[in-house]
Amino acid sequence: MATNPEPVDERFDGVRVIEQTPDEAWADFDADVRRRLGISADQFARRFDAGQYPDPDADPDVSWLAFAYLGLRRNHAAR
Amino acid sequence: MIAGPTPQDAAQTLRDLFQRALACVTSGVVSLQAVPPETDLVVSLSVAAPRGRHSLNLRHRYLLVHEPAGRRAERWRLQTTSYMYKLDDREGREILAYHWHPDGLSHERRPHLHVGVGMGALRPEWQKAHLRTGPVSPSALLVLLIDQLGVSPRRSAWFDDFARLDRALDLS
Repeated sequence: MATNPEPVDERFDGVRVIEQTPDEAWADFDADVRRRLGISADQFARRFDAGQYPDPDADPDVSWLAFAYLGLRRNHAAR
Repeated sequence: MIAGPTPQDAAQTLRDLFQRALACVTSGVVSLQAVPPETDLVVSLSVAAPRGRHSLNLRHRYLLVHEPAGRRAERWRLQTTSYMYKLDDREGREILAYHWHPDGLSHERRPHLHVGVGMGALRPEWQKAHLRTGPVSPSALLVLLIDQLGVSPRRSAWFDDFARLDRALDLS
């Protein structure tokens, strides 16, 4: 989770924005993968990159996670 | 169109519009995740509705484009490059999802809608169907929370807030 949420702005009735570091974003992704598939984000990444999810449309959870991963891996690969 | 004299200004405009629209149905945290050269605006929140809680999941990916020849006030333009807006029931089953992922693995690159088993009895062959749509704004999903699921709007100007976001994103 990110550590520096912006101050509460009354115009937005309790909706705040946080800018996450790559590590924070990956930690959130890891939590989402564990909740949806019961594996870690690293395991998901290995399986995805190995082509073990050839049809993301077959599973709504995989589809959602694959979309996030295709963005996040641009940072993750550089770690 | 969302634009500004600096990339920060253009991004801030989207943030403000997004926060206002989201505040119509829930409170919570929106995350900004850098996915260079783009940015993801991410929402994963539980929303209370009369028939139980639902999970609202939005991931809106955008790019800030420099237009050096443009007016100073519009020198940086925000361009939506893809999105997924998804509503799950409280068991985590997908009810529906709006997708647009021109660069994804799926053969369907155009904006489309998926209907999931969370909607109710669904013939298996329709679970993977891509029901083509035009590009949509997150409000396409947010408005369903109010209209179909009976979520009480938290802001009286919710319709205007949604319309403002739609107009600004100009995805048509």
